[in-house]
Formats: sequence, structure tokens, C-alpha cells
Amino acid sequence: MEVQKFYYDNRIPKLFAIACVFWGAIGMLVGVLAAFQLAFPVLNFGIEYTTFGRIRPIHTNAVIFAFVGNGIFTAVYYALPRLLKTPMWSTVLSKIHFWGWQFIIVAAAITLAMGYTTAKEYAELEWPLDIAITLIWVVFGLNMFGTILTRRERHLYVAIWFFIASWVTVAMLHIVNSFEMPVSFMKSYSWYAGVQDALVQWWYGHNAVAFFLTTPYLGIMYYFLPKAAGRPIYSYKLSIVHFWSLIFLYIWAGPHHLLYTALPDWAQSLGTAFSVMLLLPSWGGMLNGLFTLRGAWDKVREDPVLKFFVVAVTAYGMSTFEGPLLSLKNVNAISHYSDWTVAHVHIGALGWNGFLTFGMLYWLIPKMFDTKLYSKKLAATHFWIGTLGIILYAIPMYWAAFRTYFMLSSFTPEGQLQYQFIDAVQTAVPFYVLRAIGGTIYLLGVLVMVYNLMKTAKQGTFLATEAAEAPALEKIYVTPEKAHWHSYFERKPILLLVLSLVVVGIGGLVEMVPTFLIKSNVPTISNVKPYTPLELQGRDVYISEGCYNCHSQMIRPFRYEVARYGEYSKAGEFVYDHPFQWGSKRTGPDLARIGGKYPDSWHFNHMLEPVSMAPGSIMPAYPWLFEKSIDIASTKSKIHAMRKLGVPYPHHYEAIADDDLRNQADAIAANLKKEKIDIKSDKQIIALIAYLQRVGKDIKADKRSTSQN
Amino acid sequence: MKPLFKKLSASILTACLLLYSTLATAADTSPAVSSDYALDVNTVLAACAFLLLMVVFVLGNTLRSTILYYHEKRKKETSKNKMGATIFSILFAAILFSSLTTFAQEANSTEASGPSMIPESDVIRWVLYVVIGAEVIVIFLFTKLIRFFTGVDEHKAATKKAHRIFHIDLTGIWNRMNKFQSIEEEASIDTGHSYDGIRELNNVTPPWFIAGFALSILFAMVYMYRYHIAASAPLQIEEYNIAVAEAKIKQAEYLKTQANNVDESSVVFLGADGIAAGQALFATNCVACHGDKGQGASVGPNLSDAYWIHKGSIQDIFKSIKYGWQEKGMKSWKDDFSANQIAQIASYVYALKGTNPAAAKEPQGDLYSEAAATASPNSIELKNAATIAIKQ
Repeated sequence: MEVQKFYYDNRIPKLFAIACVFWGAIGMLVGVLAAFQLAFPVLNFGIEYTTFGRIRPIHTNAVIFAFVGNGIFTAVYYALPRLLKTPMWSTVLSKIHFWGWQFIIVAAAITLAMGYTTAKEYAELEWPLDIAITLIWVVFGLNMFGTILTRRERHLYVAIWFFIASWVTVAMLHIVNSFEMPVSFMKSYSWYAGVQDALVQWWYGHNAVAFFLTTPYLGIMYYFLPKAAGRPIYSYKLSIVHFWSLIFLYIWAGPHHLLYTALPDWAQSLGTAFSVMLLLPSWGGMLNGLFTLRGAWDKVREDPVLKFFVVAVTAYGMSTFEGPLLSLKNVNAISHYSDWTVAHVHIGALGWNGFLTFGMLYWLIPKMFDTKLYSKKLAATHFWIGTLGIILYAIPMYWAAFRTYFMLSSFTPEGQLQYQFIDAVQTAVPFYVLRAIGGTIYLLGVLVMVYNLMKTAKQGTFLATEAAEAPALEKIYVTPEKAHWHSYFERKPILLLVLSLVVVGIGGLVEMVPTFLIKSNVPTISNVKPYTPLELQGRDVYISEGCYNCHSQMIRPFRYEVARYGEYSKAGEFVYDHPFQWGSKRTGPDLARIGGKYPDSWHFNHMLEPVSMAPGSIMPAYPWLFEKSIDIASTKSKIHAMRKLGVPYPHHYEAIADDDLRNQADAIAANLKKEKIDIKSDKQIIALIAYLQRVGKDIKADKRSTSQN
Repeated sequence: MKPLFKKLSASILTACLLLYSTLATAADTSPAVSSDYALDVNTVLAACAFLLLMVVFVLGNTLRSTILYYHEKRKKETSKNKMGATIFSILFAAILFSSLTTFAQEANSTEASGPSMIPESDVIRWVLYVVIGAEVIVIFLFTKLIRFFTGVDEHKAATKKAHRIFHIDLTGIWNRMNKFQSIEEEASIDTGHSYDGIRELNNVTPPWFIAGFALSILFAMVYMYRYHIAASAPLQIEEYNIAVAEAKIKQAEYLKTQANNVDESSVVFLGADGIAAGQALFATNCVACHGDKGQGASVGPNLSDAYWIHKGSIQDIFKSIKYGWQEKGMKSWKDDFSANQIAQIASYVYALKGTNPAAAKEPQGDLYSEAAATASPNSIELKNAATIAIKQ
């Protein structure tokens, strides 16, 4: 076969690398702001766009999809052509992918700040953006498979297995979790409700971590680590074992985010069991990475790139050890809703994703600019600053988590709760300050890197393309006698894609289908009725302000939670909750039974000035809710959409819904008037009060009538 | 090598089972209430004992053949000690088999009742501990003897003379755990792959990785079995009911020893100390709604006037605090404060009457005259003293 000449393109990876660093710095800056807001509520600035409830989703989406996302694409567009000995299939698709993704990021930041959110964590973007993501993801997939199918290398390297599995699984997760009923442009309701919505969401949420933050980054590790170390991959066998076991087991573990909730017990247990089995497959990646450095440890002492890689892989090992630990029931009882989870994800995000990205960039930028790194010393400084930042971030969070747990769960011998929730909040505040400082230090390190990389780019000359040559693949392939059985799958990319999809599909199906189809998993409660139009509007205010970022609506069956918040939550209570609002973190107290606990006037004052009703509170004020009017025009379409999703509003209820809404609003305004509070009944605060006074009440009424039991 | 490997795997398994059972016992904090769900430790121990017994059997058989082998070898080497060796080995074999049969009987006695029927008794548990301990000692002894009779010890001593006795070779252990190949031999395990210059070796998957993975799968199966098939561990709601029941017992026991077990029928107005304590509680919990001096605010009514929505006797105030008036926005505080604390707050509130703070809210409810309801000169006297205390 004749040797063909072709060119690798460096322009697209360069663009992605710049975007990665740019959005990374911004995403982390927003994270630092959010961290300081928890300690100093004044930093919410009293403006809706900068309130924690909207800032936090911007931070999470930015670091996951903008920073890590662009990091993945940098690696794929650089490594894939080289591993397959062919340029990317289509430059046009590459460009659409790049600019489309950046457009989505900008649109996401703007819409989240404006309060357009589905309230499903890490999938907050509204339906038009969900569709845009799907389209761009397909473009990416087409480009990737076009490249794979026109390759000049018969077998696919392990990094590409991970890229393929990541692509197909993320597509599946995104599409299934984003099923929603549009109400209007930028407003939709989740297709699923309550327990089912929670299961789908955490199936997604957990596997977004798995297939966006982990498997593509394992691909990055498999390409850049041996390249930088100049060592062969330690074990091909281990690659095979841990690739298949990892993608198969990962998908099952989602329910460990819902331990002790109203999710059926069997699904919770599956989550725990599979999380424990996930430990060794995860460690397989770490071992293959670290053992690849055998014989190159002297280099690690010198080379900043390898230093970053070693810490990244070690952080991966630590957080994948912590993960199964957190999935054990008795540990999860402590960690769930606490800062422990926050520490856990940041070990992964700052250590594994952050450091691996930094290592990659320190290796890649000098390569693409045909020069050496501007300053090894600065890179080493960045390494130490970054490590210090991670430690300063994590330790206070662990500490805060344990202290608040012991406070919140302790009783006096007389049987009363020993501490109020606010005491625990106050205890955590100094740790929030330390954590914010840790985050700031980490961000400073990133800025040092930006300077270093810019200087590097300046001193070199950009290689827009790199020439290479290789023969085309023979039409007929004769399998060598001693070929490993797995090599068969490595030369059949479509089969590999389909198999990956099957393997990741099993876990989701086994957990979801019974939860959706078998009635006994969500026993109905006759008292539970759909929300009134005003309550529904109030619920949308609650969603759009991102209250779920700090408040759960899920009382776990623990003595100390029932004593503090009321009767533990039942699956049947959430059947009309599109989307569910269980939350994942309690910076503030649980709200599942807030209805009727305080008078309307309490909520009114509390939303206007939280410390007036709850001294020591770190909740931001929401003054705009007292000025903005309820979007009454949307009531009809909201009721209509809800009915389509199976919420039993009577036929033609839309016609009288507005009257009902006004009557209820007037009643609340009149009630406030009695307490000398003057407010027009069409303000958003009225709707929010209506919703808050309703939450968890259906079952309370039930309890009162049978309280003698 | 085979028995050694078996021994190794068996001891790992045993260790895990033991660890599992101790963890479960540690988690089981209250034998009284949760005995239904306490892990059946004795079953686990019996299973361990049985497993170890199998190992003892295997090792015993191996030992028997090594003795025969040793005997043969010695016979060839020298005829001098023939008698001695024969007597020794026969004697030893006798001891060996008597011990084997003893263990078999012991195991049978525990197995006879069936694993699920073993009662949760401390005596049996200790017997099992002793049995397991004895089995471990026997296993250790057997392996030592096997090493002696097969000549492994002799061989090792000959080759490792130069080494210090207590030298622990950590790198060596690490290398063996991972089955590392030396880097010089790398060429022999190269797969021949080269992707953009990245080569791949074909090192074996570290044995501890495979063992750990297998163990985690075992754990997962046992976990699912325990919770959902054997139902030998409480699911979350049962766990909650157990915790609440336990707490109730503890609480009742504690309250029996306490004199402060007041309720709305027995509460009396407390003196200056009680009022001071009540004031402190009021300042941190009640001022948001009722004002810092009980003058009332936008949410809560004025507590310092003579008008009461829900009556103003000390018993009434106690009741309002304890149970709350949900529909009017007063929450129930009985889970936050002890009865004694509620009495203190009630006394403070009761004493607020007539203090006339600034910016008082307009009266709500009805004029409440206690004299009309329950006139008691004693309480009025007390109240006057308390009012003075507050004014100070």
C-alpha cells in the first residue's frame, strides 16, 4: 500500500484549549463568589442575578460543561486524529461544534442568571438549550465517528474506547433526563414527577460525574500520561478489565444519592451494592496510570506535567475510594445534605479534573507552539499553590460536616433537640470562610498558569498543522494467530459503540422500569391534591430562585429529623411534583413540612430581611419578589401542561384557574393586612407564600385526624 | 504451593467475615429492642468455624502425605534413625487424626442445629470464638509442620542465610503484591501495540486487585441478600421505629429520675431564677415575632398587656408554648424545649404583664382577668416580686 500524506489540525484544539482556560477561570471565580456568599450574605448584593440560588448553578455548569467540557474536546481533537492517523473528518463540523458549544455556554450563563432553570442539578438549562446541546453533541459524535471510520490505524486505543463510551452514554443520559413538557419559551416541566423524577435525575447526576468528569478524563490520562512520561501503558489486560467493569457498574450507582429518602428500599440497596463494587474498577484506572510511571519516577520530580498527573490520578483514587464509603448507609446518614459531599466532589473536580487539565495544557501548549514551557518554576509554583488550595478547601468542609452532624443529631436527655438549626449554621460559617480562601488560592494558581501559557505561546510559533503520513488500511484484515480476543472489538468501532450502549443501558433499565411501572413503589395517598394555580406559580418562583440549592424537601426517617422538621417524607406526597425539589444540600433547613409552621407575615418579613425573623441566618434577601408581578398570563398554559403530564386538574379548569388564583392571593393579602402589612395581591411574594404554606401540608392534615394512633 | 494458596485465600475470607461480623455487632447498639435485626453473629461464626474446619481437613491430609513423603525420604537417606523417625511420624499422625476427629465432632455439634437456628447466646458465641481460635492455631501449626516436612524451611534457611532475621522487605512485598515484572524484562511483555508512539505492556492485573474486586462483589451479594432476601437487617422505616422506641425508653428512664416533669396541669409560676432563665430563652427564640420586650411585632401579638388571644394564666401560656397554635402561626415548641424550659419561658411571659414597654402593639384577643378565673393571693405576690426583678 502506498503511503498517504495528511495534516493534523492544531487550530481547533487550540481554540478549545483557550476556551477551557477562559471558562475555567470564570467558572472558578463564580465559585469563589458563591463560597464567600455563604459566609457573608451581603455579597448577594440584593440583586436577583447575583443571588446564591442562581450563582451556584452557574458555577457548577460552568466548571462541568465549560471548563471540563472544553478540556475533553481539546483532548479529543488533538489526540483522536493522531491515534487514528487521520485528520478530523470534517473541519466544518469541528467549527460548528466549537462555536455551538461556546454559544450554549454563554446562553446558559445568561439564562441561569435570569432565573430560567429546570431545577434539576447539572441539567438546569431550559428546553431550547437542551435541544441545542443535543444537536451539538450529535455534531461532535458525527465528527468523531467520521474520523474513526476513515482511520489509518486498524485498532482503537483504550483512550478512544473511553471517548466512545462517554459520548454514547452522555447522549443517553441527557436525552432521558431532559424529557420535559414545554410551557412557553424558556419554561418547561419535567416529564417525571417526585420519586421517579428523583431517580432519573440522580441516575443522570451521578453519571454526569461518571461519563463527563471521569471516563473522558481517563481517555485524557491514557493519551497524555504515557506521552509525557515516555513510558508504555502498564497493562493492556487491566485496561480491558477496568474499562468494561467501570462503564457497566457506574450506571447503577445513582440511587446512592437518595439513601434514606422516599425512594423504594430495593433501589437504594442496589445503589449501595453497586457503588461498593465500583471501587476496584475505578482504581484500575488509577493503577494503570500510576504503574505506567514505573521507571519514570525520577522524571516526576523534575517535570511539572507529571507532577500534576500524579496528584490528579491520586486524587481520582481518593475520591473513588470515598465514593463507595459515602454510599454505605451509616456513612451516608452523616454525609448526605452536608458539606462532606461538597468536599468529596471538589477533591474530584479540583484534584482529578483540574490537575489533569493543567498537566495536559502544560504539555500541549508548548507542543502546539513548537517551543518549551516559558517557566518550569512558575508551573511548579502553580502545582504547590493548587495543592494547598485543595487541602484548604477540603479539610474545613469535612470538619464542618462532622460538627454540624453531631449538633443536628444530638438530643438532651429529656428528649429535646439540643441545638436549633441556626446554631449549626453559625458553627459552619467560619469553615465556609476557610473554604472560600482555599478556593481563592486555587484560582490564583490557575491565573499563574494562564500567564505562563500566554508567555509560552508568545515565545513560540503556532503550528497550525502538522504533517504526517501513513498507509491506508488494507481492505481485508487477517487476524494474527496470537491476537488477544479483545482486539476484535477494537477494530469494530460501531460494535464497540453499540456494546457500550447496551452495557450502560442495563443498570438504568433495571432500576427505572420497575419504579415507573410497579404501583407499590410509590403508594398513593388520597389526601395529596394538585397545587392550586397560585401555589403552582409560587412553586415556579421557588424553582427560578434556586431555593433547592440550599433547602431540601425530603425528611429522612431519622429521629432527629422527624423531631426537627416533622413526619418523615412519603413517596406518595410527591406525585404532582414536576420537577421534584428534594435538593441535595442543606445549607438552610429542610422545607418539606414548612407549610403552616409560621404565619404568612413571618414569611413576608423573612423573605424581605431573613435575619429579622431568623437572627444569624445567612440566607440572602429577596426584595425583587415584592416588586415583580406574578405572570398570571401563563397560568392557563401551566395548568394545561401539568394536565398533559397526568396531574388531575378538572377539564376546562383553565377557564376558572385565574379566578381561583386571584381569590387565594387576595385572601393572603388580606391576612397580611391584619398584621399591618400592605402588599398588592399580584406580587410574586404572595404566590411564594401560598406555595410555602402548602408544602407538606396534605399529609399533615391526615396526621392530625389520626394523631391518636 | 497449593495448600499454601488455599490457606491464604481461606484466611482472607475468614478475616473478612470476622470483620463483617464485628462491624455488624458494633453497629448493633441496642440488643434490647433490635434483637430481631441484630446480625446473627453466631451463624457467621459457625460458618467461619466450618470453613476453617475444611481448611484444617485439607491441611491435615496434606500434612499426612508430607509426613509419608518425609518418612520415605529419610528411609532412603539413612537407616540409622529409622526407628526413631517412624515412631515420631506415627505418633504425630495419631495426634493429628485424633485432633481432626475432635474438630469434626465439635463442628457437627454446632452444625446440627442448623445455621439459622443457632440461638443468640453469649455462651455459644464464646465457644465459637474458642473453636475458631483453636482452628487458627491448628492451621498455623499444620502449615509450620508442612513447611518442616517438605523441607521448605531448610531450603529457605540455606538460601537466605545472609539476610537478617527481622528484615522486612517492603519493596519486595509491594512487588510481589502487584506481581511486578522487572523493567529490564519489559520487552517480553510488550503487546507490540504502538498508538501515536504509545506502547502497551501486558503486565498481569495485580492479584490484590482481582481479589478485592471479587470481595466487593461478594459484599454486594451479601448486602442484597441480608436486606432483601433474608430480611435480617432493618430497612429504613424499621430502623427509624427502632431508634424512636429506644429513645422513648431512655427518655422515660431519665425523666423518672428527674423532678422537673411538669405539664400544663401541674405547672406553677416560677420565681426570679426561673424568670431569668426564661428571659434568656425568650431573647434567642421568641423576639423575632413577639418583640424584644414582648411588646409584639408584625407577626406575634403583644404579650405585655392584659389582653390574651388564648387566655393568660400560667397554665394557658404553658400550653400555648408547648402545643402552639399552628393555624395562627404560633409553632409548637415541645420538641425544642424541655417541659422545665417551657415553664421558665411561660413564667417570664406571665411576668411581662403590665411592664408597658415602648412601641407596644395594640391589644389582641380578650381582656383576661385571672382573679375571676383562679384567684390566688400567693401567685399575685410572687408575680409582683418578679415584675420588680425584670424592671431591674
